[in-house]
Amino acid sequence: MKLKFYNKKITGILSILPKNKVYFKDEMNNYNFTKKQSLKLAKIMGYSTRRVVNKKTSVSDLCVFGLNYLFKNKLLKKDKVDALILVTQSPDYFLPPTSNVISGKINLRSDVICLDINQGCAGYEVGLIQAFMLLEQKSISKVVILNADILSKKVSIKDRNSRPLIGDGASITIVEKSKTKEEINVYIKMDGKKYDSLIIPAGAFKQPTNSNTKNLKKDKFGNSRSLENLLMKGDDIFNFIITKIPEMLKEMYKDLKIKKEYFDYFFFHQPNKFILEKLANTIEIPNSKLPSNIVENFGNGSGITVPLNICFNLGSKAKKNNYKVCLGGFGVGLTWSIIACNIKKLSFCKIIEFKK
Amino acid sequence: MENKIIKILKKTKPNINFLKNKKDLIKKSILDSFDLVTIISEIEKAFNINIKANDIIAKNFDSISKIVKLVKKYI
Repeated sequence: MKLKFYNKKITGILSILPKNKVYFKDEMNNYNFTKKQSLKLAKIMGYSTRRVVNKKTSVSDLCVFGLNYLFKNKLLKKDKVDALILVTQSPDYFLPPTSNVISGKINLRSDVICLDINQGCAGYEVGLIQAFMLLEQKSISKVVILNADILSKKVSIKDRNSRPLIGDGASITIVEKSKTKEEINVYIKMDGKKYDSLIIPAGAFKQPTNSNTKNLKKDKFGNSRSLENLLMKGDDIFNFIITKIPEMLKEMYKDLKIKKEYFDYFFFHQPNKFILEKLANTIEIPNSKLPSNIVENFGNGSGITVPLNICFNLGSKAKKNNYKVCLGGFGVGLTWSIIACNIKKLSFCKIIEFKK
Repeated sequence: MENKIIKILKKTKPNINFLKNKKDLIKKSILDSFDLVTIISEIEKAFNINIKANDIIAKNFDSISKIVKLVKKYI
């Protein structure tokens, strides 16, 4: 699906990270590897430091903390918010929607539309699409997108495939109508036939929790996980990303009559360093334009990696300058999307720590 | 070249005898995707090559002879 939007812009991005840091070197004894093998793999995959929440922290806690920071610092006016979109795979409850919970906690007007979207690795792009669509309405001028996940709670401690990668966090993106001419081009595709390439098989309504779903079972490679844990089929995901993203980029270059050099940055989702470097190599984008430093510093926080990538690698520069960027998300669903847009003199672009 | 590749495989999976297990490395689950990541990185370093992403598929790593064939493509 190709979508085109006009006269809308991102005006601020805030990333919220738990202060708790977990180091791969401290965890590697949990995995079925020798120390030497673990350290080698860590270098290739970018395993190093992850940010994870404590047991009591939920997605709404991270989002409310960030929103209150914006209100307190006069970066966002509460009464100007018309819609609140939360993209998460780790809601506070099955019901009610967590966006409603957040709206209540920060005391938003009752005519603010609250929406929960279940998306992950392409969740930033899906959230932006929803925000752009809402902004087509006359009555909506400002949309707040919340991307937040705390999936570290769902990864087995004995799963060396996923555990060392997964990080937690949230991001807040403000999207508004623009008075200057802006064109945004969106490409998005989904392949539900591969829904089980990234999945938490049990715990919802299809396969409710019971005593069996909690049992850890060892797979043929020595990883132990239960049906309530995240399962990632690494080879499926690798092949999907390496095939689909270059195809989608080619389609975009052709449609928009541009070359890859048009973009100042490619801010892509960061599943791990190996995949991202191979992808950069395939699409012939230098590392300086396609940062791959999120997993090693914070872990893969699902839908927050793209906004965190912008905050970490542009930071305050995004307040002064204009950048032509290609945003890219790919993963759970399977879903993949790229967005060609501008990052223009944001009112804020920073990372804060959730200190509870 | 074959000996050099076997040495790399042995380093990644010290408990496997790759002189006896030369085939069906993926089919028999001797190597998983994370072993491949390490092996690819070691091969790239040892032969000073950069294996393209579209060559990183299971069938190119399912036997010693297929890995040798792949490396030869880049040399």
